[in-house]
Amino acid sequence: MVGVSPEPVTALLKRWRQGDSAALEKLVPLVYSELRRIAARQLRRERPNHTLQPTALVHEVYLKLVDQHRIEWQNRAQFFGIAAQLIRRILVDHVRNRRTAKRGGGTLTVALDDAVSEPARENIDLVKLDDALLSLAAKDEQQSRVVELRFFGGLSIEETAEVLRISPSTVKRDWAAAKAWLYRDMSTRFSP
Amino acid sequence: MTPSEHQAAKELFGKVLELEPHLRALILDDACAGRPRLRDEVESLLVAYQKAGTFIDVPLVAVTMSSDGVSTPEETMVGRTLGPYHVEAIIGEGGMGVVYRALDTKLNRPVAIKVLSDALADPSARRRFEREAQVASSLNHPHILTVHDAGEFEGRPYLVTELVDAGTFVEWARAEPRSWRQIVELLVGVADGLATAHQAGILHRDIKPANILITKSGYAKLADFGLAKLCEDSTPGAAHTRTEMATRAGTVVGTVGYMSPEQASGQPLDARSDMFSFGVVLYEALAGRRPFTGASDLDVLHAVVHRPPEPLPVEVPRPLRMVLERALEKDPSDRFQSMRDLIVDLRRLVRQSGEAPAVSAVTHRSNRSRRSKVAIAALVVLAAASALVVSRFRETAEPRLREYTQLTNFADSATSPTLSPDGRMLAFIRGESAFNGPEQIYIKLLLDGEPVRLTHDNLNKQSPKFSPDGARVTYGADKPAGGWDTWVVPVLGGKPQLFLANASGLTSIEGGGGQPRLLFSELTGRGHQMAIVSSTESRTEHRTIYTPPENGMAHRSSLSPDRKQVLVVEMGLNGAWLACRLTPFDGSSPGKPVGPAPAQCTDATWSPRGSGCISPPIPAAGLTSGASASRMGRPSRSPSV
Repeated sequence: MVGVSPEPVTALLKRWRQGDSAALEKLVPLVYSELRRIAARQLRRERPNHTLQPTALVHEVYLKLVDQHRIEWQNRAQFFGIAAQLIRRILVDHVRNRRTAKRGGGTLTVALDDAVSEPARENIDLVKLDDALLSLAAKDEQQSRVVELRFFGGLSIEETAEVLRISPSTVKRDWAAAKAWLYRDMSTRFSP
Repeated sequence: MTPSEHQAAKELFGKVLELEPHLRALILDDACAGRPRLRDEVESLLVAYQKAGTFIDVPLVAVTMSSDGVSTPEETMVGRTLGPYHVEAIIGEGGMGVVYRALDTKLNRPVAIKVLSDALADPSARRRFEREAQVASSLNHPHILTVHDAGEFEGRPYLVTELVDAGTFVEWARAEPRSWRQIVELLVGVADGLATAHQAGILHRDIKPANILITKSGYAKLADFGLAKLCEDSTPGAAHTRTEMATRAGTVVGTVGYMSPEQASGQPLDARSDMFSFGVVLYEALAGRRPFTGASDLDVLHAVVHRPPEPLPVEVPRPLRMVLERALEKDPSDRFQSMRDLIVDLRRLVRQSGEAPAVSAVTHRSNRSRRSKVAIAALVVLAAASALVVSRFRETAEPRLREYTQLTNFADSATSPTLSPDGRMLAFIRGESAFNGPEQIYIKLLLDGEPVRLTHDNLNKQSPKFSPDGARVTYGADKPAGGWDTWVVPVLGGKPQLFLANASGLTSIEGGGGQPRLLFSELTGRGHQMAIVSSTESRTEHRTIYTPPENGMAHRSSLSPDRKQVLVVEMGLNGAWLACRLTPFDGSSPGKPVGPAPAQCTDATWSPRGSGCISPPIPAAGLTSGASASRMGRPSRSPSV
């Protein structure tokens, strides 16, 4: 998909924020296809280890699709909210595919941001996290969205609150409880 | 677990997560009455939360939204990541910059980050800032705010320090009426930190109540070393110019009030200038007003340079007034010549005026009373596991263990805990073994100080104990040729010195007429036999209290508060721990085994009321570490012997 002009996405974000839910249905495919396109290019171009760089990915899509001068921070939060969901899909699929290809080799081939500290680089199995998030969503959809926005989308507490239209204190509480719940779920889950 | 049960657990988890353990237990008791499943779920989540550490805290996508022209740089810093630090909130703003609360995702601990404002961020200021940060971070002292790290973010230098967020000395002094003793006890720690800095050749130059931070457990930490210097140096003309600036701007009136005469008149400064400022802080806390006042900053400066301080209220003991008068002398050469001299006088004052401070504070309903509870909780459980746990109990007729606070969190063991006489410091051995291994002695300010390593050698160590003044820690160490010697190391760090040869399990006890005596174990010269003996530090007045049969080894001992009996910890012929032994201090008989039987007694001490407390037998001693510290089991003990 080439030649998506910034105007539609910016306008759609505004319409969506004003309550037009049809705008979201048009937005998601636009953002998704752009994310996939850039992800594919990253993988082609990058070093032989096929590394995805989520931050660069999202930023590139954002810069391409959204008119920087005509957007408010709430719209931007919403954009990254959508991106969080899509990024989760793309990354988890990516790890799953590579795992299948490399007969179960579980190395995470998603490059985390340079600013990410060493311990955080280790030990988060995205496929397992995705499964755990699905189980969590069955009990509490909102909690799973909070994690998606914050972890996969990099949104702050306030931005997450804005996207989900809940209070920042609710985001904080949901986040803490979800973190505990997911950690417990993932550490007791059978890992293949 | 149904979605509605999940919701209930989530709500309750959110409610209790940030609470102190005992409050947490109270709320859980209340909310979960008749709902054991709910309680199990919440407790399981709490444990998981602790274990989770920084799990998923660092987002996969680092969104930077600074392109927005509306939000200021300060606002956007919240939620951003500086190296391993995830910035959470603004906790303070000052002339130097903004202070944030942040999470160190590497070590999973909260930190404070001070980001220098743009105005001070020119290259030469930055170099000085970094140098000063380095110097400050070399000051390893429990009463100096620990600097963890320094760095640069988008061209602005920042300093990462431990997070101390219970306010400053200003709020502490206002919170409730404080006795002179409370004030002196709190500030003597600051004085000690300052003395250490001076010995390292560092001046603070901006001692004032706002630079003395108070921890949740009620300790004072001196902050902002070097920053004041930076502030001066970044404008030509140093101190004098700064005074003019401050006066012109009219924003730092407080600082003018704490300046020394030499500072106020632009003279060169030395450690005695900091001493003067310290004196002003102490004076103000005692009197409720500053010693030098005036209608304008200029008047204040004039008073500082020319007028004697206004007299202190008569409620302040005369010796304390004299100490202050000397610290506030106009001519530096008339003051104490070092902070150490001042500290000696302050300590003597506290010591000489009646009962021991830790005990007198029990009745105060304040942070201090919490601390003193720790102090009287002489029952320190020996944990043969990876964490030290201090039990705190109420001052009731029958003390009951009611609260556990995890004090250490190492991958290996922390053992042989011992409290300083004032109850503020903990010493312990860290390493693999639970008894006599090649480990290191550590100390830590209670409750939330950073553990500080005191030793660096490979000798096997055991039984650390504080000296009566709390300034040194003694411990037993293996001799390569066999047997043990007792070594001593200052709590502020330094090279360990041999204290007493052929001595281990040493404790200092009050001898007659205020003379310190020692209680310790020594090899008798017959095989492995070790006896409990008492002597002076020079080993005169040597007296045997208990000698076990043949190759028995009496390793540790503790004198009862009434000085009549000694609890002895001993090993039998085959090297197995025996039950504790209670033996008369006068050595008139070998006494008798006491405590739960059969038992392997590894440590013993006395509660202040004189009922002996004995460590659990070894198989039960492994208290679990980790997140469930608030729900740990109750160690077995004998309430009275």
